[in-house]
Amino acid sequence: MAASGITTSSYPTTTAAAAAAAASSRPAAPTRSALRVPSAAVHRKRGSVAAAAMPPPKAVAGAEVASPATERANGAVAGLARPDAMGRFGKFGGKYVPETLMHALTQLEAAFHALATDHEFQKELDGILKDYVGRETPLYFAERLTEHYKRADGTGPMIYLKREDLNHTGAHKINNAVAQALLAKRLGKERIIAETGAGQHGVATATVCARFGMQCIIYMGAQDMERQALNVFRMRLLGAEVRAVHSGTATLKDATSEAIRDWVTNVENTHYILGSVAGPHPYPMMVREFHKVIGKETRRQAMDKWGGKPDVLVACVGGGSNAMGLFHEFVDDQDVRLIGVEAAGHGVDTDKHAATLTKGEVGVLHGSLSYLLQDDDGQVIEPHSISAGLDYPGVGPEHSFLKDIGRAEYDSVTDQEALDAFKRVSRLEGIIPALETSHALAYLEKLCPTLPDGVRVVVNCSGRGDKDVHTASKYLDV
Amino acid sequence: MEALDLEAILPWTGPEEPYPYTFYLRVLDAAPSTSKGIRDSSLQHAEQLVRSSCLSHLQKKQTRTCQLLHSYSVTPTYHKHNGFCDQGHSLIIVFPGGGPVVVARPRRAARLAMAPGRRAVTSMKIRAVAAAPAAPAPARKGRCLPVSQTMSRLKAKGKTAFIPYITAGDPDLATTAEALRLLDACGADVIELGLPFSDPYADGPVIQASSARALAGGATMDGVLEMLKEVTPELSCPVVLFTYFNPIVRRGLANFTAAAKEAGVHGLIVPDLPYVAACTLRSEAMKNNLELVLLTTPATPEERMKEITKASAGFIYLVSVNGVTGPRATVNSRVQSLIQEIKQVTDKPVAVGFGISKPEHVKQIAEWGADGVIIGSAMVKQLGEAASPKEGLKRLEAYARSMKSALP
Repeated sequence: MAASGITTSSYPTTTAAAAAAAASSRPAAPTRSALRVPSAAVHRKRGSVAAAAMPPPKAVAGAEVASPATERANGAVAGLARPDAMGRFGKFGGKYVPETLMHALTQLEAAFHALATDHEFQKELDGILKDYVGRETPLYFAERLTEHYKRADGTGPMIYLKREDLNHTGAHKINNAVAQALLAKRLGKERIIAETGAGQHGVATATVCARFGMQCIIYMGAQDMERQALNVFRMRLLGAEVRAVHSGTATLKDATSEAIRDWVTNVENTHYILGSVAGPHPYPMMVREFHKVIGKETRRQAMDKWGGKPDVLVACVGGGSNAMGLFHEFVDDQDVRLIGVEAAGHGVDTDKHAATLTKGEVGVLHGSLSYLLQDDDGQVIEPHSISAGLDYPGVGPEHSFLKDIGRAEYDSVTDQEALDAFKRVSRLEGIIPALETSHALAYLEKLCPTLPDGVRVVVNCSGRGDKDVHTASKYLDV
Repeated sequence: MEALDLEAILPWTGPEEPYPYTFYLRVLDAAPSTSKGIRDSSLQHAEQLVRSSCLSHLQKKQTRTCQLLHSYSVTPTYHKHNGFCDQGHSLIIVFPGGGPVVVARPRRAARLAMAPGRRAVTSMKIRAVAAAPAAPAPARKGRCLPVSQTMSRLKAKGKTAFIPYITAGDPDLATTAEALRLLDACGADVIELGLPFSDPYADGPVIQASSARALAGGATMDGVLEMLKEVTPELSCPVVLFTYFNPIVRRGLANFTAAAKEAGVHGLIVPDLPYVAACTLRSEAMKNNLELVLLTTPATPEERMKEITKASAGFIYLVSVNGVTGPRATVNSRVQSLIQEIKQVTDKPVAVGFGISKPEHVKQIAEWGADGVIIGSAMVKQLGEAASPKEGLKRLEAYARSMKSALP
């Protein structure tokens, strides 16, 4: 339960309200100071609780002053504090790959840093993001969803959706795919490979390869190909070769393993467009930087709309790219709550889930040290989620770091809860969200009753659900 | 029998002192002297070498600058890195790269050398062999040398090491145990044993399938180590464990290396742990006398190749191609120049692996100057594609013999 983390005795004035919130499904409005979780970071500064209650314009202005230095352009990097030179976020991250790939990773990192200060590259990328991808995406006030979460006394949080589903190809994934394809061109690599789970990253990669005239090979688990038949067709239509992966559990982790094998074999002419903030350094950093535009736009849009910051950010987490893209901009804003929602499948106490941060142990998979679903022998456990994009036993190392330092919270919702949200948001907002996104939206059921009146929640509406209609139709009676 | 007083043998001054006989050996001259025929030498042969080369070097100590060549520690039942092979109560010291062989027996006072007065020079005698109880030749069962020494001895004899790989637990651990004995009997010089992993992303289809079979058959790390504990004392060749990094992380680096040592393992190969990330495991491995073999590849730039060769223990594992494990029709012609490049910067033995499956491959690689060939997928196939374990072992034996006989 999310509510269990809401208060501690350090905040006596809020305990009663939160207890009431937990006790009743439509409780009286919690006070705004109950918004914050008692993380280690918060305990250090009790004053920030008050700040959270009423975000002072000054604090926002301060953050704005700080950000232009880093906001050179979409995807630009400057003054990175995380990860360190070794690609580590605390103890997480790093490069655990066969030696064959080490040189390519070093090259990639150098190219990435060089391009971050290359104005021509940034200009080209910005142009494509604007005219081809369709950025910026709206920050949409979900009026009926907000209404839905109003308590009996008319109080409740305000729900906003960051409409990444409106990007070309229907998900946030293209932000990264476009940028990496441009990067690959600069590296002189004409052959592109990628792994995909739900097919969104595969479609995005196939799309940009069509756009830039590059050879494209997508690895996809055979089971996922069945679940996401529509996306398989889209990729093939776009000219990509989709290779079915039958090994292991025939899902995203096996597709990733196979993509790594391809890369090891063809490293000299091939660029691997990894689709999440996972994998070896520099991918977790690079993919985050290419997605951080989501958070940057959100900050700007929030400022325009209500002259402040969001109070709570919610995003689904598989590998964690859309969440990292939204969170990154706000990690240093201690008064913004960050919540990642994982897939609980049939429930985190069953053996069928993909809740890595909730249930995993520290381990190494696909190049980085992070939380990992594994058994006592270090064998990776087969994850389960109704959503192919979250069906992954690992998670991006920066999420593991944010969890361990207490900066972000992670919770999970089940397949059923996600399906309910899929239907609910379709009916209330006329937006069919991806099943992945539906996990973030489903979490509102747990979260909203605990939030004080007027708190502004931004959910990353990371993808659209057309691809999932076939799957959902097996479960939903509509 | 003439005894030599060596004032240059000092007690251990390191942070830990786990062994009854532990010391530094200083020699005067690092230049290797001839040591042909070491591998099969009896103790008498060793004695000759001590007399003809080692003694003369050591006796010149006062006229030349002392140089710390290697540090060793040893117990009567235990060997550590490049240094010792225990023969009863005496010690045989073999220098890597075919240097002089020293047969030594600590005096009764040796134990006292461990006492707090650490830097005090111990009176330690190095004796000619006859002072030691007669012991069989080094090839005696269960008395195998560390990997680096095994390789160096072969190298000194102008031979190329035959290093087969099999996956532990495929199809079951009893068969694996039998296969280890069999490969040893077929003349394997080092055996690489794979711990099965759920996501072997450096491996091609053959070893992937083999790992999956092993896991499906219930192989666990404990099971594999238990089996090794029983089998390794019977082997005359060292076993190197091949494992992905995650099982090591899960077990804990210190726990894992201690357990591997306990099981009689001599070395480690971790395919997804590149040199830059290997530091911690390397030191844990060293504490447990495990040699961590590092890999270099055709894609590795020269600078890093140099660092890798410097840090690699046991031997240098040269990956023949960019790619995953699995048989290929021909050997990458770049291997020849890669071997030469490595040999220019190190005296350590170089073994070539990945894609090697035919007698003509191993012949070719030996001709190019490799000190060892590693054969994986092709071995695994013999066991994996057979109708029964019994037939698999038969096929494995025939295949191993054919490869061994193709090697010089």
